[in-house]
Amino acid sequence: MKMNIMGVIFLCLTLGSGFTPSTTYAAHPLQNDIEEAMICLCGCGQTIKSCPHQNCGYAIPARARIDKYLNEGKNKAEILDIFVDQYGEEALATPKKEGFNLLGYIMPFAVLAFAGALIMIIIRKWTNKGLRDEEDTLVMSKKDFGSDIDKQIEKELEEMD
Amino acid sequence: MLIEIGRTSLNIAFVMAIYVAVASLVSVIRKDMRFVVSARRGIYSICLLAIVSTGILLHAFLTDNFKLKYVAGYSEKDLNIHYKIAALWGGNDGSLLFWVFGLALFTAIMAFTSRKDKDHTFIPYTYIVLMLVLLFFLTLTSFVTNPFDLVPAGLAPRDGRGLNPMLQTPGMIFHPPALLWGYVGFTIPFAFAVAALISRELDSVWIKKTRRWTVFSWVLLSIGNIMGAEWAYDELGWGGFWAWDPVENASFIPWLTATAYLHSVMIQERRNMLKIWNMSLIVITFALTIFGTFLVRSGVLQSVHDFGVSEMGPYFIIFMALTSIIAFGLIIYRYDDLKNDNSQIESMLSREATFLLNNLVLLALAFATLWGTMFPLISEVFTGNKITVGAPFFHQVNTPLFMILLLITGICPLIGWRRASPENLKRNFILPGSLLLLTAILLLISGMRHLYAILSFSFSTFVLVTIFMEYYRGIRARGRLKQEGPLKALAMLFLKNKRRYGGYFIHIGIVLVFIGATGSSVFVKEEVKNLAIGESMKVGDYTLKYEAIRTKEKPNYEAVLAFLSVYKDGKKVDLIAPEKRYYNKFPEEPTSEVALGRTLKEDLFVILASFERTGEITVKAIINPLINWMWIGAVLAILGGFYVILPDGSKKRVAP
Repeated sequence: MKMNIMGVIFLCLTLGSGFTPSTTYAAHPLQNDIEEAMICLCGCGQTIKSCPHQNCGYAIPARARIDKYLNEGKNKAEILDIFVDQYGEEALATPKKEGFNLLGYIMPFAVLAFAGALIMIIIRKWTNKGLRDEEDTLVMSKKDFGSDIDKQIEKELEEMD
Repeated sequence: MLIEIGRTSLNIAFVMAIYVAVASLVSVIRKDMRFVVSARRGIYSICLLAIVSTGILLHAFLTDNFKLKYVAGYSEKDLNIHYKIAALWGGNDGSLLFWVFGLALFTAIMAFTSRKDKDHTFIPYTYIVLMLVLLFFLTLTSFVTNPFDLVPAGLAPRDGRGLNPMLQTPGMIFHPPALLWGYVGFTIPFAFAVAALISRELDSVWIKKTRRWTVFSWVLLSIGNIMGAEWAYDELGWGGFWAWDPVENASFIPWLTATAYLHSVMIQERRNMLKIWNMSLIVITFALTIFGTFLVRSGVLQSVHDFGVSEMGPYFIIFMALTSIIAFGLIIYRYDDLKNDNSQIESMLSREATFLLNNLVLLALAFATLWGTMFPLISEVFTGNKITVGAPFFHQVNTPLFMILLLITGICPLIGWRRASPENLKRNFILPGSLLLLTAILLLISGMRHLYAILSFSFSTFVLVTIFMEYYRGIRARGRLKQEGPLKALAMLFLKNKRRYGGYFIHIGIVLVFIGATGSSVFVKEEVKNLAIGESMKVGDYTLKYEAIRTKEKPNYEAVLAFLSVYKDGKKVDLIAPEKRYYNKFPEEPTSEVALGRTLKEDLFVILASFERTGEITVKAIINPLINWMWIGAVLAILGGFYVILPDGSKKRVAP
């Protein structure tokens, strides 16, 4: 079995897969930031920084490229543009805040605001209706029970005092 | 022979489900309770048949019966016995059978517990709805993706293909069943809601009868979600616990709507209000459980959970559309009956209004998560551009909503039912409000500048203070009225009002989840370094010294382990061994086994990223502050949930 594992290691090293340690990039302050801003296109759906695949054919070379571009003095926007030019906007972890994509950011808050306003209107309508009902009840009670009852209530209240 | 029994059991269950639905319908038409009794017996027999077929499939896994396509596809001889059990739900066919098993079992329990209930006409309708849902799943398991399908005669492999290495982790034994049965559980309140709509029994009885089912399903869904987060943290090896992956979102969205429902039903029970709202919420929650299953199995969106992908997507989307159209159609049809007549919210400053606000934010979160998950598809349809919506998008959009939700969790108990007076508000808010401000000021003075972290910790303080005030008030009132000591009064509060004080206990757990999530998201530190034997690296307060590299052999995998001594303040505190595993059946998919040093303050999270023949390794070390408070909080919330559904012990008890 030990031979098997050494075989696997040898195979991977000779094929130049992700076993070769080549990732000491976090030294540059922007490395993490850029890795977080880019999605891994291997299918995992996570950022380049978080891709769980140990031999990822996209995230590992992308990290190396980011490191290389940073060492060449490129800034974040320039590096992201290089990847977008090559892979399209799909390469970014979040859509750019422009055009149709703005809808993506605005919609949840717009819905919240709309629903909130709607609920406020409904509650206000209910509270107003409640107040009107209370007034109606008072008017009704005076009309129905007449002054004898009023006098009796007042008398009892005086006695209570 | 056994396989035939398993397959036939499913077929008989299918026929029985049709019988139960028809018998229930006849009982309604003829008003003859004998048919209900017969239907109930039919439900018990379906449960038995589901147990038999699931048991036979499990037996096939345990005995390595690779004549079955499903067993050959998801197991192997050398697989650990507990993973052989977990393989039952490791793929599409088995997980659908497990769904059938869960739904049949829950339906049988519901039928048994409601067997003496002769006062309500909606029971037979409930059977009909449950049977129609069950028939959908039985159709899939019996005719579309049967787990008892055989490999062609003579071609049975000597060994199976094995279980996906990412699923060979203890969390996978509990995470999928909890999620699946959480989904299944919401079928019961959904069925009662639809039955109430059909039978026109639209008071709060159906809600009271399904209260325990709803909380139970919510608890299962919570367990499923938190174990999924734990799995991501331990198994995926990137240091986080939630990536806002479409499949993660699929189980989180119904959890949010179910949470909203759990809160809003309290208003209906107490004030007989929000009937349409509650009906809609349970229908939406049920629909979202089906939608979640569609997302997992359709593969329409890229996900790290792609092992669930199958051809089943269209079935689920059609079923979801049909059930939603019928249920909402019924709500519209019964609109006049459901419409609120007398009761209304009397003031903006009332607990009812804050509950509505809580519902609004929970639904906004559900919508934002759903919207973000689906936006790549929406954008592609309208613009033709392929875009990606990853975790950073959800952090931007959902975090402010989470903060509002946390604040409302604290505000809600401070405001009385019906109408709160300004004096009352002042008296209730002064202490927690002051402590909120004090926390924020102290955090600012200590140098914290991250807005959401300050808000999260300050609001958490606010919520915890309001909850402790509630307990204090309850203890004081009992002490005054019943002359009880503080401990006895606290115990009696829990015993006498499980829902209210158990609910606050859940809130304490949720606050701890917020604290843990904030700490581990905002203050995380990470270092990646190449090390030769004897070399060291620093991360946070820790120094890691690389001591040795070794291999380990197990029946179905081989592993490479790097041994690292952990030093803190110059003292050796631990020897850890992150490893990389190579499963015999999946050599191209190595997995990382993380080494964790857990304390309440922080986790030291160490991953063996790679190694060379020379013995040189690359280590990724992460400090995750406060993360264990998240797991502790989740456990408390789950325990609180279970406590809330415990039997009352007194039949006279009135709903709070």
